[in-house]
Amino acid sequence: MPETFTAEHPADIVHSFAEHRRFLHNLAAMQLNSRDEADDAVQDTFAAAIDGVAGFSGQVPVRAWLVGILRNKIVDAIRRRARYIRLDPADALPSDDAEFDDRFTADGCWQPGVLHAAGPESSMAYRQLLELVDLCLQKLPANTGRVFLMREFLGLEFTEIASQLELAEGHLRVLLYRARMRLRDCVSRGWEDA
Amino acid sequence: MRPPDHHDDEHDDRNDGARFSCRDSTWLVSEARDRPLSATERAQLHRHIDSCPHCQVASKQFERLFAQIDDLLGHTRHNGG
Ligand SMILES: [Zn+2]
Repeated sequence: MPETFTAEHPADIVHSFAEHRRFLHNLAAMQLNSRDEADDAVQDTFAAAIDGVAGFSGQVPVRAWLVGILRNKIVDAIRRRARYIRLDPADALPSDDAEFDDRFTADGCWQPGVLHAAGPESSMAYRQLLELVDLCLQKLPANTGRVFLMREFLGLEFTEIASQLELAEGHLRVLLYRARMRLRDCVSRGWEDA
Repeated sequence: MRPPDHHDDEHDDRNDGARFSCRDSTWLVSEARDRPLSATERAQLHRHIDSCPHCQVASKQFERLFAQIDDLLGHTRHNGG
């Protein structure tokens, strides 16, 4: 491989970190127990990114790069703590798919009208689409969001998430299902409203 | 790397006798994010989606959503589907 050419000057890249702070902080706050922990994870991420900026190849967007660093910081923070994170009992209850009963008929068919737009309006820029997903993530119940991100963002295995949260794997699957169902609801409504 | 086949009481009853429903298909679409579906599950899912216009819309929505989640969270797809 030839040396990777980065169009932007490292100082400009570092300068652009600030615009991603809120997104990174939201992501961290959804998985850690306090604002302070989230602040620390974001600070550590920026510190590591500043140290490593010379090696940043520019092959992925800056935000994706930062998000990757943050992921490691959060995994470290979660693994460091000795205690379990207790889920809100309302979230940890055994499956009651009742939550989505209004989306389906009694025999399990989609209710007319709940599917919304099949896809985004062409007028929506991709950046807007991702902002919509971010917004919908923020709207998940806290613990559902946490479980969802442990899986989909941190990429932790089921066994690790289950033991971290002292949760049966079956419940974990149900929480992930709920998160995805809610997200589909939320983004497809957004696509329609756009 | 993956947990062994998980026995899920809430959902097993759907497979014997009862028709595979839209609701069942949403469950499998979600599961497919986390583990490879069995051949039987894949067949059930595809057979249903092929014959159900609602689920054609829903599965397209999930597919778009999942791709956007991957982009938002800064990674390319894990697990395939
Ligand atoms: Zn269907």
